[in-house]
Amino acid sequence: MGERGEEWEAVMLRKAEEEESKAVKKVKLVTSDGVTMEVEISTVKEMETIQAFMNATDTDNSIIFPLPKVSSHILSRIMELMSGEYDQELVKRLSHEELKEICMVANYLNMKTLLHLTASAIANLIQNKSVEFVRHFFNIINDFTPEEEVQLRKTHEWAFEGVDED
Amino acid sequence: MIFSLETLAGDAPSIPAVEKHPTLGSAEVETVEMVDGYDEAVVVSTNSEPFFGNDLNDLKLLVFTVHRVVLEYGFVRIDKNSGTAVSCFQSLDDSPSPFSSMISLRYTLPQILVDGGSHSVNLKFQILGHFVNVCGGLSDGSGSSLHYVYLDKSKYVRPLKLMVANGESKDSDGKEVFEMLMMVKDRVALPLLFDVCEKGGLDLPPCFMKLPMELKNLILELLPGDDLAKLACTCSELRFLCSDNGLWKKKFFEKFEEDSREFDFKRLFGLFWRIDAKMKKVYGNIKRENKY
Repeated sequence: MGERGEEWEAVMLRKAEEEESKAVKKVKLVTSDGVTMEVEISTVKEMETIQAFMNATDTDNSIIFPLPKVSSHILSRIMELMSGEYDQELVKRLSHEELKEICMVANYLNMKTLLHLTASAIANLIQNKSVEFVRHFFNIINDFTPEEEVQLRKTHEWAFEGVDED
Repeated sequence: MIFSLETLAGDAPSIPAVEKHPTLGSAEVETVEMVDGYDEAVVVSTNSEPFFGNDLNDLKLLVFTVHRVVLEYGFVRIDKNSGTAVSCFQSLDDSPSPFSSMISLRYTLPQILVDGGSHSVNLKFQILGHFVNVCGGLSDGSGSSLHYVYLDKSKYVRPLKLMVANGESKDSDGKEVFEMLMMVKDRVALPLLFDVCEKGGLDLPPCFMKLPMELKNLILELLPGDDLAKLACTCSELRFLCSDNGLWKKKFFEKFEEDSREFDFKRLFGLFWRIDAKMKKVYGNIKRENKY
């Protein structure tokens, strides 16, 4: 009985400690549209750019980190992805504009998992598509002369087998 | 981007005529506007400017190059006063003074003209030492910040000239020109496109091409070789990005390393031997031709 009591005490103590460390270390992220989002220190761990800043300043109190290039909409999308453990299904639901923005923010904040996830999602959009589809889909301007394009396609002839014409 | 002597010639003769405005100082550059159609009269002066020489020509070359990039992004040049489209053969030079080191151009999107809107962007070019400052922003100066890039003349003008002269790029020069085009696209043309789309209530074009170069490269690394080959056929920017030898080396091993355990290496050796010999025979020709 006494043993169990001690065990219980230890668990509670650990919980209290955790609780305490959480209470102290909060990070406030200020977005480009002026919204302040308070996030757990654990969330910031993946944002290596912010983490490096925190390590450098070595503060125990909550810190404020401005993100002038990130809108609150994109930041909340990123939080969703993080709390959903980067579920592919969540990524599929993003608009292309969101996908692009998140990719850029992931690069800026040095979030490796998120960067890889979004870059792969964009790569997936391109894979197995015809030249015309990619041009149309991504609004790419064909700046080749007709002769240049014929020549290019000839050089890359081997790649034009089994293309989805969608 | 295609450079050729003909396209440049359309714009190059419009070096301002010294004899027309001998008294204008650069301070007046922004306030004085030129009447359209004026430029045809000054074709002669191209090769014979005695004193402003290279500096102004270099500026014009860079202006022309940036102009091409901006057009690629769907902009059209408009006249500052009338707000109507200016034909592409018209002079790229609105500045009346031969001594001016500043050129200012105005652009909008065709869709905005169709809708009868008046939103537009201004692009200013100014010589600052051996840099040319390219600075763009909304014409009404509202809301958005300015977007600018400094182009190092000593770095970019020579390869650009070579490119214009040869009508194509050699590899070493191409790299510099490409770097410059990327800077202009990422830092000026795209942000301007965003600004004017937002202002005019237009939908933004879809992603990928708007990503900075490092992210484009990251995405390309995730694609298999045949998709890279197809992407190389879409536009000159992707042709360049998809032609990196290091990238292809990676793709080669990615694709064939696994299979290599079952390769008949003796046969392969013979195959490569033959290819190698053939390549050596025509190597000179290939080097001289366009690489892609």
